[in-house]
Formats: sequence, C-alpha cells, structure tokens
Amino acid sequence: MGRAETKNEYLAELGRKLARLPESERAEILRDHEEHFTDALAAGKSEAQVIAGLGSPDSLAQGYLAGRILEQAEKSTSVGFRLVSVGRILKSLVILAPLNFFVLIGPVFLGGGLLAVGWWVSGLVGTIVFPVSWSAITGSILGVPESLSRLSLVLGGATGIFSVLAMVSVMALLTSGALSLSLRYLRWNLKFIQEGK
Amino acid sequence: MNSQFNKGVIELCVLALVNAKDRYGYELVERISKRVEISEGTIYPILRRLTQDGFFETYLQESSEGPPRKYYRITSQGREACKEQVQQWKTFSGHVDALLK
Repeated sequence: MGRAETKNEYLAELGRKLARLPESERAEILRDHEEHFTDALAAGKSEAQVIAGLGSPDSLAQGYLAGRILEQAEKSTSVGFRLVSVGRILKSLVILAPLNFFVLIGPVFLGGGLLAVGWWVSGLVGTIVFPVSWSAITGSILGVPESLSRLSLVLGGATGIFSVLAMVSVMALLTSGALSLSLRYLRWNLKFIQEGK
Repeated sequence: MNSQFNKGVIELCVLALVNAKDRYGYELVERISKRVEISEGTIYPILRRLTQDGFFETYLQESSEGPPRKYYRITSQGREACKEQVQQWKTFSGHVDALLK
C-alpha cells in the first residue's frame, strides 16, 4: 500500500484501516478528520503539512481500534470476551508503538503464567479429589478401613468437593480480577502512547 | 520541550479549554500546539474518548470555511472532572515548583 500523500488518499486509507469499526463510528471519525483538513487548509497549511501533523493513517486507526475494543471489554462481563479483547488490544498497542512490546511482555507473561499454573494445579487436584470424594459420599469407595464410619466418609467427601469448588471459585475470581486490572493498565498505556507523541 | 511532560496533561488542557467555552477540533489543536509540542492527531482521539465518557456533548454548527463544524460542549459531569483534575494539577505542580526552588 502506497504512502498517503493527499487529503483524499489519507482519508481513504484511514477509512480502510477503520473497517472493523461499526459504520456510524467510522463515518464519524472520518468526518472529524475531514473537518481537520478543511480548517487546517483554510488556515494556510498544505495537505502534506497536515498529513505530517496527523501521523500515519495506520497508527491513527490503531489508536481508535484499541480504544473501541477497550470500551467494549470494560462494559462486558464475559471473561472469554475480555480475555480475547486483552489480546487484541495488546496487538494494536504493539503496532502503535513497537517498543511498547518490551514494556508489556513482562507483566503479560508473569500474570498469564501464574494464572495458567493456578488453573492447571486446580484442574489436576480437581480431577483426583473430586471422584474420590464423590465415591466416598455414595459409599462406592474401595479399600477403606472398616473402622471409618459412614458419616465420616460422607463428611470427608463433602469437604473434598467443597475444597475443589472453593479452589475453582478463587481461581475464577483471580482471573476476572487480573483481567480488570489488565484493562485498566492498557487504558492507561494507550493514553500514554497517544499523548506522548 | 520534552514530550514526556505531555503525558496526561493534554487531556487536562482539552477539558479546561472546552470548560471555558464551546470549541471545535481545529481550534483546540491550534491553541494547544501553540504552547505545547503535540502531534495534531493526538487531540481527536482524546475528544472522542471524553465524549464517550460523557464529559462532552457535540453539536454541528455552520461555518464560513465550508461544511458545518462539530463543536464540543462540557457536561456537568465533565465540569466536575475538570475541576478535580485542575485541582490535582495545581497541587502536583505546586509541589514540583517547591522542590525546584
């Protein structure tokens, strides 16, 4: 794709880069920048000067795209959607400011890694403890000393199941907390990149 | 000027300028870039975000330059945010000034 050298080329390229936004929002952003061209040209600037001032259509568009995804993710309560959004915003932010990659990579790997290990451990413990506890409750468990009463088996099983559920709940809370934190951080990061230019 | 200082302050400038009176995009770009070194593309995403956050309302008004211009008007929520941020800025810059003396 060639470099945008005229107002029309610039707006066309910006429009293409914003294709993933809803039509009304895309039209609104294009309108704002067309107005910017009109006013700047009327003030005596050349098209080339205006384009140099705005930066590339791509980085302008990435800022809007990241902002839009952030907004939707902040409103959403779905963990899956928020997780996917964090990934997409990270991508936009790295395109926007390549050096940003080194700032983001540490927290992402550390946080993501800890959560992954947490889920892996809970999954592992769950798959062992859950069946054993269940068979203790139903009385189908094998190899239990005669001295253990029926009641203590049921109580023990219930405790096992309760612990697994508690562990999974804690992991779910940690995950959604980490996602909220990530979104807040990314919001700040985006602002930082955009205003620092 | 070191552009590191810009971070976070541009939004405050936009809020304060629109708080003073209704303004359009290019007017804000010109006013701010006269004093602070910014990329002109910075202002429009900020205007969009502040509008989405409910700090500004927009309306179109005829202009002599051609098509109607989009004006930004502060909302009561925006006025609150502006007051708070200006206060925070004054406290912060006061402390920095004191340290530099």
